[in-house]
Amino acid sequence: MDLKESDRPQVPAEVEQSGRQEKVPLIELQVREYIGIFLWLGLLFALTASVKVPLDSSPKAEAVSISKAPWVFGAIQWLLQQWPAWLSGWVLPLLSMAVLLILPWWGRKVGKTWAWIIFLILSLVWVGLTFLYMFMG
Amino acid sequence: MGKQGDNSFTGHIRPRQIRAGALRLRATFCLGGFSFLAFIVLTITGVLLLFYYQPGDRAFASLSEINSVLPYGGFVRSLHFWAGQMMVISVFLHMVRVVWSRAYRPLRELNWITGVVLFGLTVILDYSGYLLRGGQESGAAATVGQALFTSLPGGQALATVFFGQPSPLNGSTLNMFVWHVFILAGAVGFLQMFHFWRIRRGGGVRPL
Repeated sequence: MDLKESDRPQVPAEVEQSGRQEKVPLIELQVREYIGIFLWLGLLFALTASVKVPLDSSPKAEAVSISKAPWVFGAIQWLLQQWPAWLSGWVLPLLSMAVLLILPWWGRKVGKTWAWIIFLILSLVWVGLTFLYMFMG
Repeated sequence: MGKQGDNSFTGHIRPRQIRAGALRLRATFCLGGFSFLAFIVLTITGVLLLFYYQPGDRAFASLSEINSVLPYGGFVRSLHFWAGQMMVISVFLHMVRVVWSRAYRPLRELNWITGVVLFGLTVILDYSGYLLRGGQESGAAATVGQALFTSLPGGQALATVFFGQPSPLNGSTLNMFVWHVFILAGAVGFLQMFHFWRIRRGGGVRPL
C-alpha cells in the first residue's frame, strides 16, 4: 500500500528530483537485459573463436629473457622501468586508489566538474601508461 | 503465478516496478550487468578448468593437456581468458559511467567504495590468473610481484603468503591457486552481492 504524500520520509533533494518518475513493470527492463546478454555473449564467443589464446613458453624449454607484464599491470611495469619500486609499485597506485575512494567527499568540496576532471586525468594517465607499455614498452 | 513469483527470492532482490528513465540505454549502458555476466562466465569456465588444472610444477603441462587434448578444453580456456579481460574493461567503464552520472553522491558513498574495491580485486584476480598459466612469462610476472612485496618492510613474509615459492620460470603455486580460486574470487562474489543489495536499498538505478 502506498504511503500518503505527507507520510513519506524526508529524502535529500537530489533523490527527490529523480524519484518522481513514471514507473514501469520490471519485465520491460528484463527484456532489454536479455538482449544485452545475448549481444555480450555473442561478442565473447566471437572473440573466443577468432583470437586464439596462446600458451606461455614452457618452463622446461630453454630460458628466454621475458619481462612482459600482463596488460592490466602494464602501467605499473612502465613506471617500474622509470622509478624505484616503492614509488612506482606502491605509492602511486595506492595514492590513485585513495583518490578514487574519497571522490564522493572530494566532489562535495570541489564541485562535480572538478571531481570529473580529477577522475578523468587519473584514468587517462593509467590508461595512457598501459598503452605506452603495451605498444612502446 | 505472478504473486508466487513476487514472493520468491528473485522477486525480492529486484523491485516489481522501476523508473521509466532507467530503461534508457544511457542510464547504465548495462556495464554493471556485463561485469556480473563476465563473473558468471568466469565462475562456470573456472569450475570446468578446475577438474583438470594442477597448480605448481604440473601447471603448464596440465594447461597444455586442457588446451590440446581435452574436447573443447581450448575453447573453455579461451572463454575464461576473454571473459576475464572483458570483466576488467567493463568494470572500469562502469566506474567511468558512475562518475559521469555522479552516482557516487550521498546515500551511495558506501557503494562507490565497494565498487572501487571490486575494481582493485578484479585487476588482482586477472594478475593471479596470469601467474597460474605456469609458463616462463608467468614466472617473470611473479618475480616482479615478489620484488615489489620484498621492497616493503616485512614484505618477505607477505610475499610468501601471496606467491608461495614460484620459480622464475613458473609463476604457478598452490598459494596463488588458493588466492585466485577461493579467496579473491570469493571476495569478489561476496562484494558483488553486497553491491547489488546497496543499489536495491538506495532505490535502484536512476537515469542520467
